[in-house]
Amino acid sequence: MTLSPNGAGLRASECGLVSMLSAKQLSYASALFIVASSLLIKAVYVFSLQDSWLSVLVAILISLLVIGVYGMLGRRHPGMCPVKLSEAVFGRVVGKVVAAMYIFFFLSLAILNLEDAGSFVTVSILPRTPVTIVYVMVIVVCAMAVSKGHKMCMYSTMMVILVAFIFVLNMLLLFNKMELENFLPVLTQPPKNYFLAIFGLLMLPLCEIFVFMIFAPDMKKPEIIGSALKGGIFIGGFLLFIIVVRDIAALDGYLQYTNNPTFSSIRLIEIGDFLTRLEILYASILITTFTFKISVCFYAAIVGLARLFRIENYHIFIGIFGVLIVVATRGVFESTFEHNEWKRSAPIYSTLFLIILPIIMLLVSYLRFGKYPQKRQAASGGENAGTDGGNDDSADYNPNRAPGET
Amino acid sequence: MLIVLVILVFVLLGIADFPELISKKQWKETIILGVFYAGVFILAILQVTRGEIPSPMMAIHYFIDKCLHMSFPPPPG
Amino acid sequence: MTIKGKARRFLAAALALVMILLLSGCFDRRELDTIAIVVGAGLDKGREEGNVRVTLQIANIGSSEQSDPQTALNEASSFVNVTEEGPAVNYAVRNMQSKVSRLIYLAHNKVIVIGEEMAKTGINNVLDFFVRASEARLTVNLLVAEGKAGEILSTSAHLEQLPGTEIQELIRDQEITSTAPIITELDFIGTMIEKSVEAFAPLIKIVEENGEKHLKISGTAVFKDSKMVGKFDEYETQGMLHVQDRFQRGVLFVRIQDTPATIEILDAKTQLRPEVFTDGTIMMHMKLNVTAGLGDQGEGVNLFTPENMEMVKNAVSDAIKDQIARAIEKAKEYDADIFGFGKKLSRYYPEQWKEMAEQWDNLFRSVQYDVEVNVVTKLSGRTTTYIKPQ
Repeated sequence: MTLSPNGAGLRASECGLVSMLSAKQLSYASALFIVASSLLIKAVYVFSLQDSWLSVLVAILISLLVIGVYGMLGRRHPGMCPVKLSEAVFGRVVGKVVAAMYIFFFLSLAILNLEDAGSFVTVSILPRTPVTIVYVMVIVVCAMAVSKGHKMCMYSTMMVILVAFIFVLNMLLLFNKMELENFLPVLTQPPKNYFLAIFGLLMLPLCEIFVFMIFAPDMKKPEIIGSALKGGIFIGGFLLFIIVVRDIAALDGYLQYTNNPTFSSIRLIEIGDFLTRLEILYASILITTFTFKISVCFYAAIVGLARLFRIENYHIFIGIFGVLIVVATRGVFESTFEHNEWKRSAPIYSTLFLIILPIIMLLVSYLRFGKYPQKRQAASGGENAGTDGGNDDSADYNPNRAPGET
Repeated sequence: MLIVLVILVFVLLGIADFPELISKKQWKETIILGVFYAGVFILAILQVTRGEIPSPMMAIHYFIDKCLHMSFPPPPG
Repeated sequence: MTIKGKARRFLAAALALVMILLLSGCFDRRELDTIAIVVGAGLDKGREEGNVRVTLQIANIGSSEQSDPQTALNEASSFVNVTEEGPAVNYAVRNMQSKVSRLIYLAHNKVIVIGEEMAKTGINNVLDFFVRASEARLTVNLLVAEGKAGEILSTSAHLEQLPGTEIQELIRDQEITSTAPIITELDFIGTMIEKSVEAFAPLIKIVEENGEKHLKISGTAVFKDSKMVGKFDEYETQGMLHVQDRFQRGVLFVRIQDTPATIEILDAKTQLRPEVFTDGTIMMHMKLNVTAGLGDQGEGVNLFTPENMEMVKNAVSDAIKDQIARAIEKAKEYDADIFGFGKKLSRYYPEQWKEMAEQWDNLFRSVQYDVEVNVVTKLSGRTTTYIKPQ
């Protein structure tokens, strides 16, 4: 079902109606993505306890290296989303298989995030509401966002500034309950714990912004996608750092005990008699940012599928994938126990798609195309990276851009 | 009762999606969308009647945990 | 299909209407006249072995026209105490629902009072409900009752409308009396689940004067693990509060050269630093900065002269050191490290703490301490000399 205003099934950017994404917009969008997961992490606290702030800093630094890999892929094959990228690098058959794996990964991201958001709402805010209703409401909003296409990333700048303001405000309001001593003792955990915490942080939330590669064809200057994502890591990582510092300082022993440290620390805000019960701020930001995150993953899955099958109009998939996500989210975990078990394997599962496959893609790209794939692109005279030349990729590229022009 | 609701939802979605594709004679899209419709329909009916659907996540977790032994340890304490 | 024009607008409006209906959270709606707002909770030992007796104080907001629970509570003037006994708290509360016509709503709870007998048998089981329920907040004040919690909650309030509010205000008054600690549930749980510090809570009791019953908060209940093992009186509590840096404002009575005087402590800050010597002796260095003022004085010498000020300072310093000494010695008797010495050690000497943690209960007895008090006197009051009848 298409609800596009111009009545036809074309993407608005193909008609030149909507502008492309700039790098800055992508940075802020990816920062919002990171913030969404930051509000629900407990995994990093259980391993590195009061040194979690150190884990965050180290994870940010390491994630810059990983984003560097994505950036290199972006420079070598500018404007290629992961689907096109895998086809370009691995060839037709293997490329399609890898692309299908990625589509499954994006879909699973959407499902798992929806499950996280839904369980938060059901447990903490609205205990008697059937969780399916929450899922349906979030998916309806996400479907509307996805039908707008990459435009949904354009307003993220304002949202990030608002979110940052609220975080700083929360931190100031908690000042009377924070104690610097809660950060001591430093570096007393066994090193394996730190490694686990940093690794967990890398996979979720930091490197998940690989999903934003799906917007590569929609960028004004696609070859700087690496820097755009790095900017996102800085902003999002900084906000994550604020959250972690505030939680450690405010909750002392209780950090281990609670299911949701950020929620618990915001519940403690009590200034005078009137500034209490501010957790509504936290809940609204959480739901908003999670909706954004789910929209992006949803979009990545659908658009990836459309490009895989060379279908121009991805809007037809929105309805059915919405239903699929709701049905799947209801069925993915049977109990909290299963959910916790999955959390133990989730980082490894993400590693395959966020670290291993991109590095393999980069290596294969080097092996197949040498140093400058663009030259071969220009030489073959097409928008393709010289693999199965002549394939019709007009659904991806802006036809106004000259071949080989970067 | 819920089965009726599920069928109703799918019929409505089908009415929204398919006529346009068929009138434009986009057979590839129709087939792919039809496959998805069928798959999701089966999943939905399964869930409404049996209450559970096979979850790929747990299968992956089983694989990572038992075969590769690379899952995280349970949290301490 | 592409929807244009009228149909599109109609569909959008229909969708918006459906969303409005769903967004009001109608599954979880709670109207003010369907909830029973709990303002105080009391936990006692049940008549049967292993049972807990839960008393909930429910504010009767009557036909208040306010839609906000907070303001409705401020207008409430009567209450009802409901009691139920059961093997566990959540079970008892749910059974209590059969006696209460409205749905029990815990989010405005102000105090949790624990009966003395209950406290002595271990309270981590009964507190679990209040920590786990997402409705209950962790900023409630926790107290231990000398006697039964149910009786405390039944004592009618004098200056406030509801006893629960009265207890909460009494606790807040400790800001200027500092004869009992102010403990929130978060503090209590935080100290209970850690090995390096023991929990403590203020004591509340009923005193009868002129046939009327008053509630009085004074002293501390000392816990070890989750059981109450002893009490501190007001004097020792002040010492304890000094060590924990929780002392806010309070008074001391001193006698200087036969002159009775009340010294008011306006401000007290403590710095606590541990030190472990090579032979294993643990020393806690305490440094206090106290601001004192003259509250009142009787006949004798004028304490407000510069020379006598020195005597005042010394008297205050000695009194505080005595309070701290008595508090620490008594805590050692109970083997309960309520001051958090262990916690400080774990922060500044993590290596040694790892070895000491197991035997901390025994090692606590051997902790040495030295106290340094630095008193600054401030002018207080409008007179510069005492009333001397001629």
